[in-house]
Formats: sequence, C-alpha cells, structure tokens
Amino acid sequence: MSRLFIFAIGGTGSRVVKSLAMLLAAGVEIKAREIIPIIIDPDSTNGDMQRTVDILKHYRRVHNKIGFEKNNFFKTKISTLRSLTENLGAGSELSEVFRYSIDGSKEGRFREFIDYSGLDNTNRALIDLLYSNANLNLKLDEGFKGNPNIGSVVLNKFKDSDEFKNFASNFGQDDRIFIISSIFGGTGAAGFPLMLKNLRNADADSVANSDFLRNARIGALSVLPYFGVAPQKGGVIDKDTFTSKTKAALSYYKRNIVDNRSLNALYYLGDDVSQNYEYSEGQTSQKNKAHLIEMIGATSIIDFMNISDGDMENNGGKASSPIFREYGIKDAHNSLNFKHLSSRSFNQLFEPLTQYAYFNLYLKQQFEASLNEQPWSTRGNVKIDREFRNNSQFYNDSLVRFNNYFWEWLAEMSGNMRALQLFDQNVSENTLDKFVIGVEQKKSFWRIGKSWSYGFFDEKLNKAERSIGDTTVETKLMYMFYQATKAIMEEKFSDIV
Amino acid sequence: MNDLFANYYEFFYTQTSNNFSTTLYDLGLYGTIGIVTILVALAVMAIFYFAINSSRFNKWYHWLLFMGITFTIVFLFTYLHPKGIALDEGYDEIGDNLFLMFGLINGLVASVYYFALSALFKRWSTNCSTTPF
Repeated sequence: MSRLFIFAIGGTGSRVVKSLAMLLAAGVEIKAREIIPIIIDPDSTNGDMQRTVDILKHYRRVHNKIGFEKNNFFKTKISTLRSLTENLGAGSELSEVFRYSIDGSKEGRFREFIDYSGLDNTNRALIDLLYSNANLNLKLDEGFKGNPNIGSVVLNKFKDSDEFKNFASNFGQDDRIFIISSIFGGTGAAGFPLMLKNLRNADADSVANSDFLRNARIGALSVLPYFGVAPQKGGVIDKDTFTSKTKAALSYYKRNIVDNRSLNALYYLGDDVSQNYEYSEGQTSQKNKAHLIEMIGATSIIDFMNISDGDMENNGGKASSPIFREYGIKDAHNSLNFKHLSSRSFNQLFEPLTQYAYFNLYLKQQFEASLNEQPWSTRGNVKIDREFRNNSQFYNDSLVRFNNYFWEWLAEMSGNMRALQLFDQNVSENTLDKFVIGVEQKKSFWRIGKSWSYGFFDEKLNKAERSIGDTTVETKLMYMFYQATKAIMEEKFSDIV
Repeated sequence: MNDLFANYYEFFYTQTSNNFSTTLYDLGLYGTIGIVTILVALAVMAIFYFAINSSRFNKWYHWLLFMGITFTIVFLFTYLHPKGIALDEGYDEIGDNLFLMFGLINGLVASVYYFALSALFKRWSTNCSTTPF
C-alpha cells in the first residue's frame, strides 16, 4: 500500500480532514499505509484549523499507543511531515503539527508581502489595477477573506518552503497526493490550482524527486457551495458572490486543470440546501459546524485510494484517463440518516461508525459504573480500573478528548442543514436499541418490548477480555471495545452486517 | 458409598448421637445425603457461574444468595428425607431436634462445598469469574 499526502487548503480543507480522522478512528478502511495531512491556511488562529490540528494530534497519540491485531479503531497511521524525517536538527522549523505556516504572512499585510513600497512606478500601477486598497491592507494572518487573487500570490510561496522541500524529498514513486479545497472562498480556490501547478511542474534543480511528483497519482476534491454566511453590514464576505465565484473558478479549472489533464481524479461536491453560518472573517471565530458534505468529502479520499494504479496512469505529467466523480444520496431529505445513503456508502460507513458511536456512548454512560465491578476491568495482569481511569494520560488526554470531538462532530452534523442524523445521542439505557436512527435492531426473544442493556454490553466486553493475551492496557482497552461492539453489531444487526 | 459418608459425617457431627447415627447408617441414608449434598452444591454453583453467567448478576451478594439457596435446599432435604424414611421404618423414637440439627449442619457443609466449588470453577465463567473475590 502506498502513502497518501493530503493537502488540506483553507477552512473546508481542515474540516474535511477532521471528518476523515473521525472515519479512520472508527475503523473505516482506507487503502493507505500512512496518511500525512498538511493543512495550508494562512489564518493561523482559524478555529476550524486549530480544532483539526488538535484532533489529528490526539488521533496520532492514540494510534501510537495501541496495537491492531483484531482492532480497527485508529488503525490507519497518520503522521506529520516532520515525523517522516528522522535527522532534522533541533533548529529545524519544520512543523511538528500538521499545519504549514506561510513565511511572511504572519502579522503582515498583503502590501508588505509583495513589497509594494519597493516597487517601481510601473509595477505599482499594475498592482493598483489588480488590487483594491482594501486588498493591499489585508492582514494575511487572518486569511484571504474570499479573495483568491491575493491567495494565489501568497500561497505560491509554498513551493519555496521547508515543508514543500521536505515533502518532496520524502515522496516515493508509489505515493499519492490528494488536494482538498473549496471553490467558493479565498484560500482554497486560490491554493488548489497553484498547488497542482507546483506539483506537476516541480523544478528538477531545486526539488527532490521532481520526476515522481510530476507523474504522481493526484486526486482532488473541489467543494462547491454548501453553506451560506449571514449578511453583515460592511463585511467582506458575501454569500451572494459564492455562485459567481464558483462559476468563474470552474471555468478556470476547466481550462487549466481539466483540459490539461493535470489530475488523475477530481471529485465535485456541493449542495443546494444550505444554512447560513454566523458571519466570520476567520480567526478563532471561524469554527463552522461539521457538515454532511465534509464527511462525504472524506469518503472521496477513501474512494481515491481504492482506484487501482492501472486506472490512474500518467504520461509526461499528464493523466492518461482522468476520472471525474460526483456524489448522490439515495433519498433527498433535509434530514438524512443511514437508510438515505446509497448502499455503497452504507456498507462503508454503517458498521464502523456505529461501533465507534456505541463505544463512545458506553464511555459516557456506563464506563464509570462498570470499572472495578466487571471482570473485564479487574481480570488479568493488565487492569482497566479506576486507577487507570484517574491516571492514564492516554485515556484522559488523548482518547477522551478525541472522543469528545467525535461526539461533537456527530452532534454538529445532526444540527446542520442538510442534517445527517445517524445516532440519537440522547438515548438512555432503556432505549439503547433506538440509538442508531433509521435502522431497526433485532429484538431479543427474552426481552419482549425492551431494549438491550449495558449488561449485554458488559457481557460482550467480558467475553472479549477473555480472548486477549498479554498486552498493554491501552491495546487491551481498544481491543475489548472493538470486539465487543463488533459482537453487538453481529447480534443486533445480523441481517445487515 | 454409605460407609464413606458415614465416616465423614460421624467425624464431624453424628458421633455424639449414636442411636441417631446408627439409624441413618442402617437405613443407608448417609450415602444418599452425601451425594445429594455434593450434587446440589455443584448444580447451584453451575447455575450461578455458567447458566445465568450474567454481568448484571455477578455481585458478591448475588453469589451469597445462591449460597443461601444451596443451604436451604440441602437443609430441607437433610431434615425431611431421613425423617420421613425413619418414620416409615418405625424409628419414631428419634427426636425431631436431631433431624433439625443434622439438617442445619449439612446445610453448612453444602455451603462449604458451594464455596470450594466456586473457588475451583469460577475462573471459567465469563461474567462471574471475579465473584465473590
């Protein structure tokens, strides 16, 4: 299996990567040996980006602590760019997190970035023609605020960065690249074609493995408008421009990407049913609710990795037969659940997401009560007891925090428009069989009219605990819950899984 | 079998009441009582650890309840069964209190069996292997 480098550009890029991390944590399978996300966002305090970076950090910590024999939770390895290179000196500024910080954009204005005051009169006149005064005074560390004309200049710096050079030197012949961007904003719309151009035209003199890059299998997701922004007097972001910007960008993409055959696979995704988000021009206040489109966007990455090498051949830096894909839902309702997804999506997502959601539910509602009480907690040399719960850094600082994000992710998608309501997050022990929305569970002959209880869950945990040998406490925890939730699925959804 | 259990019971209790012990021995009741005592303890233990084997019924007081059931069944059997046989066979001079005490003592013996069998077999129970300790 190959490695996958993901360039996530702008807020939408961050949110799609977040969804991908959630799917991978749940054990959704992707044919990649390792995933290296690189988030490109000049808005260093962007709420969406910071949240995604935090999620990836926790994911990585959990993954690095556990084994994967008969456990698919957190199975896929996610790495930082820095972690790929062993011999970087202490002084290296290569990011240990997942974000690329654009040189010169920090605390500067676009005017300073292009050295406006140092330009001669002719060039200055040209710049005045292309950019308004507001454009020139834009603070770059706040993002491009829907101005791709600024983004295209600033993001071009990426090819000179340590991150890009390091990425290129680590890039192998069989590795793949996926670029995520929105088409209707500023950062993504500008960054995507630039990124592609820099990859396909990598300079052999200054970039390592330039030949690999030119002929790399590259996929991209271009997200069309799927949310609006509440009107704001004097605001620079106007949702009425989203469609016209999209049209202009699509036209540009056709000429410079599609006709050029620069991509091996291009995924388009959008929705005409949308909700207005609170107005934000970026920074910490840009923390958009998770959305169905982002989760489907994450599945496009999985789909891309499922395409065989033979179907994505390149010749002289051009795709032999580019693939273009869209996505459709089975039933177009404003509120979707599992049964509205196509059978392919259902088969891909239902089992792992339900397993992981039940795992979360148990931790929230029952874990405390069963600690030190059930055999799975106290049996064997490795104990998952109250002491573990109180003192484990893995549990408290990584797993619980990741799971809180997972729970929040489900809740946000559920409350968004179009809503994706997969689970009823307010169930109690008496209604555990109603947790999965839209999918009927098998009734127990012995419990006519009653739901199964956490006692049933504990029994599956006790059984799972029996089958694990000597291992670490972290691996034991994840293994037990993976096996227990799998057994629940097989019993309660035996007609489906 | 009767000799084996007669030695056993006489060692612990019935040697102090020779007539009572002789009657039980003569009627061949020691063997039946001994086997029933073991089988009841074994059966109740198996029901708790392997038939019910529930994560919602694996606390120490659940286990104690089943010990109580063992005690009660064995007590009633040890009290009523030999008394009925003895009366049928015309041994009506034996006092009721002797059967009662024998029943209580054998109930305790059954409880000890239940405890020992629990300690021996509980490890193979999925949901109760840590009950009661």
